[in-house]
Amino acid sequence: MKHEDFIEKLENLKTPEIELPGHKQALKMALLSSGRFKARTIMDWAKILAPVATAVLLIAVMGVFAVNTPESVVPFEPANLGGNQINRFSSYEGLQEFVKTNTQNTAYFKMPGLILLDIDQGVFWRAGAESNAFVTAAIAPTDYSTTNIQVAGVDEADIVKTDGDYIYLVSGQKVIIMKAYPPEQAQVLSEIKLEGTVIGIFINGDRLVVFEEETPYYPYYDLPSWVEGTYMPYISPRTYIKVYDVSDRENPRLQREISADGQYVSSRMIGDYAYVVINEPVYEQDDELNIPRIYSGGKKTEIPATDIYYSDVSDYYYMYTTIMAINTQNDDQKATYATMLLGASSNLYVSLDNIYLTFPVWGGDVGDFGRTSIHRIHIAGNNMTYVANGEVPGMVLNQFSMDEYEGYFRVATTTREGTSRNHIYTLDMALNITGSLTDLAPGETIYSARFMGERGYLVTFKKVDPLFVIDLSDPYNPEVLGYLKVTGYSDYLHPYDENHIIGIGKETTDAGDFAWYQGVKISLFDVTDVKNPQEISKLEIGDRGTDSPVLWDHKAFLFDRSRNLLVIPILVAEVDQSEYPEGVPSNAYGEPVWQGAYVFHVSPDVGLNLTGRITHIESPADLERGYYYSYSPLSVMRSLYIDDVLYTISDAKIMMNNLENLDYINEVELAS
Amino acid sequence: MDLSEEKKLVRQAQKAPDAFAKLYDEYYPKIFGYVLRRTANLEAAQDITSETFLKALRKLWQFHWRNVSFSPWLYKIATNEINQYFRKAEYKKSVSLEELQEQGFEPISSHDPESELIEAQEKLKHHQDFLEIQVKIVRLPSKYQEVIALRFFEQKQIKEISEILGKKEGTVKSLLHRAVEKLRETD
Repeated sequence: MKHEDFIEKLENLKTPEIELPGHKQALKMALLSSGRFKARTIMDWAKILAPVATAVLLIAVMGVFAVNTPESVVPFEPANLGGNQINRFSSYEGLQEFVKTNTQNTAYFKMPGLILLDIDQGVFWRAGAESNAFVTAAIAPTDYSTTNIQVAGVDEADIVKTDGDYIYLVSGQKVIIMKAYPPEQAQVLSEIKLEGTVIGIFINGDRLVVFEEETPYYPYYDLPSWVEGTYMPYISPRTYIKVYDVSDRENPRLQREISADGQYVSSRMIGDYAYVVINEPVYEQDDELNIPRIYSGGKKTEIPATDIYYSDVSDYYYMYTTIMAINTQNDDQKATYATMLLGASSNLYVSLDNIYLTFPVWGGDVGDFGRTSIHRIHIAGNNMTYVANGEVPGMVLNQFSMDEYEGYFRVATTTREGTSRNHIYTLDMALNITGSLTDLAPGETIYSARFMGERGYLVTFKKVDPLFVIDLSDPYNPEVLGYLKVTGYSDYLHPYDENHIIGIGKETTDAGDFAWYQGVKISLFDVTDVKNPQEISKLEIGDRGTDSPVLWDHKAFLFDRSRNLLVIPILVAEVDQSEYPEGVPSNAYGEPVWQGAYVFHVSPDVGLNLTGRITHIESPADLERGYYYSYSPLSVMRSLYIDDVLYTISDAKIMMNNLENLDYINEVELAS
Repeated sequence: MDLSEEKKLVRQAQKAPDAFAKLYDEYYPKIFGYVLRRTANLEAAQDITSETFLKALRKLWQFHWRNVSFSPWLYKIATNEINQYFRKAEYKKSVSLEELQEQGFEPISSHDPESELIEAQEKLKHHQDFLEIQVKIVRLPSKYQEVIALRFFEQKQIKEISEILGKKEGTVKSLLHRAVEKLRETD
């Protein structure tokens, strides 16, 4: 047989497509109930390391945990969560007993004799603020954009912030402070180098808040295979809050620093106060439970068990959830913390007065996340009070699935047992369900939700995208007002005004009982006639494979109604038609051809119109690097404007263009 | 699954079990199918698939350090496991389902694993053409087995195979050419 014929034979060979549903289910259950997601006494990746590899690990850990010296020590104290909805442990033994009793029916792993490494022996390392002497008198611009947030007045940390004069941005392991306006004089003023991963920043006057997570590096993947079966100790990641005084933008000074064991979940800033939520798994070493620690002023403090709260809402696995509040402006005020023994917080919604934490509640079957428990913590400055908890059927997609409005909490969920179904619940401030709208769009799941005052919008999807318009004016009786079915779906909904919504998602092509995703789709919906919502304008960009960070991160979305401006970073992929002489199949992926910011003019009168596009990528090789998960350093991730200047930001560059005609003005390279 | 959705899930799955569950549902059939088509042995396919996902789970949190995307990453772990299986007389698993179950965890399943396996073995026997060529493929060095299976049975593009195997595209192409030649000679 000839080579070509043999290839054809191989290509046409009918191969077995056999499934073992029982094995699939058993393995899933084993994975989900393995300690990775619950009482982390375990696990394979957190076992004891062979002596040889311990040395490797020690070096790696020391390299990671570097410490800057802040100007002043942050005193801190536990917040009195109060109330009769939540209890405090009376002793460490009480905590231990509670955890053991409540996890006894689950797969519970114990590893004897863990080697504990003292991670506090880290090298001290002074933050180098590299300055650049040249500063010009500020010409204060009048108008600038801010991070796209969910709730007015509740800021969300992001990788880029501006105060209209300067741009503060996270670039790799640095925070860069840049003179941004006027654009002709744009230049980097200083850099703050950090050792961990910078998760996000806030700017508040002359104070810059940096959230940093230091994850101890496990050399696991790089170890030779003979060590793979051995054990490694579990080392908790650590979340830092660092407050810098940037009154001198060329010389940022680390003013306050406090950190705690655990993984960063989310943060918000309301007025002068920054709040951060941190999760730390409960695990056991030598019959002892770990206790989360707080680090400040070179000292580590174990949170006493008597300051740890627990609620009786039973859960399948346990996490310490710590909320910290810190005054960003007043260094004399104590930081406060509240530590609760709860599940793994999956989502978080913050209104001006309350933090809502949600946790998936395990159902009767492992892997069945039938219900969501909700906890409300009232916040006022650095005071925190645990007020209520409640439960709703189904799972919450993201923060936009939740909202608080005039004394009621609203939440959209999806249940997945059998046929998936979607629901909206309204709850009072005690988190009792007052009203519900259940079993919407059976067989579909929620792709996006948005609550706007007395209305709610919901996009569900399997094959087509119904956009539901829901009346929430009566919290006892939510009602579907109308819906619109179009192809494609929206991952993110943004209000244009009270009667128009911008939706961003993907176009789709019908494929029997499901649909193939195509290019990125941007829609403008008119909901003036609530019974008959209309898609009054839509644009489709690229072929299958086209992507935008807005689809999973609303902070990449820039919109200003007064300017009718919409800017979105997009990676465009296109299918080469010549590769498919018999017609392009619906599931053909395109190759990346372009990445950058799309600039649109949007208004109900004229719809969506492309103004132009801006890219940082000049060579195809740089584009190649931008495909799939690893974004090119030249991929535009954010955009903002100051006056009439549009700033597009990638890891490697900030480019400035005229907002009206997109003419190039200037650019600043960001050294990596 | 859509790329952006998957990326989102991979990020969430490092912390949230429901996100991991979704990724699992998406990839279990693909990985199990791949391992089965490599080994033509249902028991081995179960063991290797279990091991692949256990390894993936415990390495997931460090996934962002690796400059590869999720799907090739999973295939890469599976490929390493398959190669180990072929290398050793007895395939050693670090943690097995049985071990997990011994530690007090009982799976609740509506499927009877034994009858399910017997049924699947019957189904597998019906793929005579495939089994005939599979026997010849496993006699080739593993570097040839990998490329043939990924290209012709898993229908992966050269680019993705190069990501999975960590080899240059040109290398994959020439490996594939030689592999087909070797296999043709034995056919």
